[in-house]
Amino acid sequence: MASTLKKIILKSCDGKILEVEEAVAVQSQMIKNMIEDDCANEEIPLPDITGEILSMIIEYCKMHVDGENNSNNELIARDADFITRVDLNTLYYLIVAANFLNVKSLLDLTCQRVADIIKGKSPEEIRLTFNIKNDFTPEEEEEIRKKNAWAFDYKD
Amino acid sequence: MFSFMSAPQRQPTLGDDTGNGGGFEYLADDLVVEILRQLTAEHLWLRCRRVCRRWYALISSPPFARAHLQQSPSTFFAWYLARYTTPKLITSLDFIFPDNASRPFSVINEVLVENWKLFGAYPVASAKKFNPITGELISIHNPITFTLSGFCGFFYHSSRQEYKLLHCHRPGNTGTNFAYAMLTLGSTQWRNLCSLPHRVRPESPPGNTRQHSLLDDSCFISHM
Repeated sequence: MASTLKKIILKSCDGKILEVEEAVAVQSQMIKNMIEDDCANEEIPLPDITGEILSMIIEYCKMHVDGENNSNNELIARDADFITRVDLNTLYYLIVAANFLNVKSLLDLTCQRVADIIKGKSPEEIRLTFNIKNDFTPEEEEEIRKKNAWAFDYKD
Repeated sequence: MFSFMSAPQRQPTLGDDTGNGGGFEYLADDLVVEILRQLTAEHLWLRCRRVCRRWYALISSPPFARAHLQQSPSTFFAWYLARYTTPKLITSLDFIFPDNASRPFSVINEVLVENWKLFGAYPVASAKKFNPITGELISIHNPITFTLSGFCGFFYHSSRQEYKLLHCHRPGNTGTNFAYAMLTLGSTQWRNLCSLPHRVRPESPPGNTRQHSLLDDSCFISHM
């Protein structure tokens, strides 16, 4: 089919040019809309996505297009393999880029990954892992702790 | 035209395996919500809310509760079996999924739309509903005394955006039918739904069960 061979040209914020098959590119709803509106004939600039992040997203989209005929379990395994290779710092950028490019399955995958990292951690462990500053006053913390105690359990 | 990050200058560091990124502040609120809504109500309320002011505000907001509920898998139902000898303990807590066609849920599926955790135990007449968002506290009365064959579920009806309780029990000792009654939270009147020759069957919960309501062993129900 001629349409599947058509290439879409993407340009990252650090000037990297990537040629992507249309079938892969349309995994991004945003690019799909651009193609439908006939706005994708020239290179598409992505000013806030680096070449590295863009390459990863294309790798992910390609994996999903190639794996269309694979079983669901196989895709889940590939997704898991893909996402566990991504470090936390990169995850943030993937989330923002997946959201911008509107690649729903990748957004779900990346958000779920961060949620999995949060799972089972105490507030302090969460702060340490994600480098978040505790900006509560001691009085506020005590207030929240008290509320939790009667609403949920008495152990915490 | 393409502006979606407040701090686009900050470049990602690939291969940094310290696992310690400072990037949460670069995520817009809607993306933080996207992440947090994957977690259980219990974890959100007990732990995540205490992380920082931003998370506290996001998790406590009514739009978050809605986003969290949309994330839920389709309806399931839990039931308990009270142990007479040690009535404070819940001895069995299982889940059932209505998407299996063999289940009786199709008959009453207008009620069962969202997931829930648990309601019921001794003495159920003293149960209360707590809405942590509004701080509202309402006593819930039973339609009938709980028996070993009676149980009660807690649901969110997504199209009506209402919380409901579904109660099921076997009336008397001779009948083979189970009577179902429903209570819309906020109202005080149980509405008898129907009588069916079967009761919901317990099943094992899935690994990633999300909980939207919690009950401790002193019969206190709460939800978000």
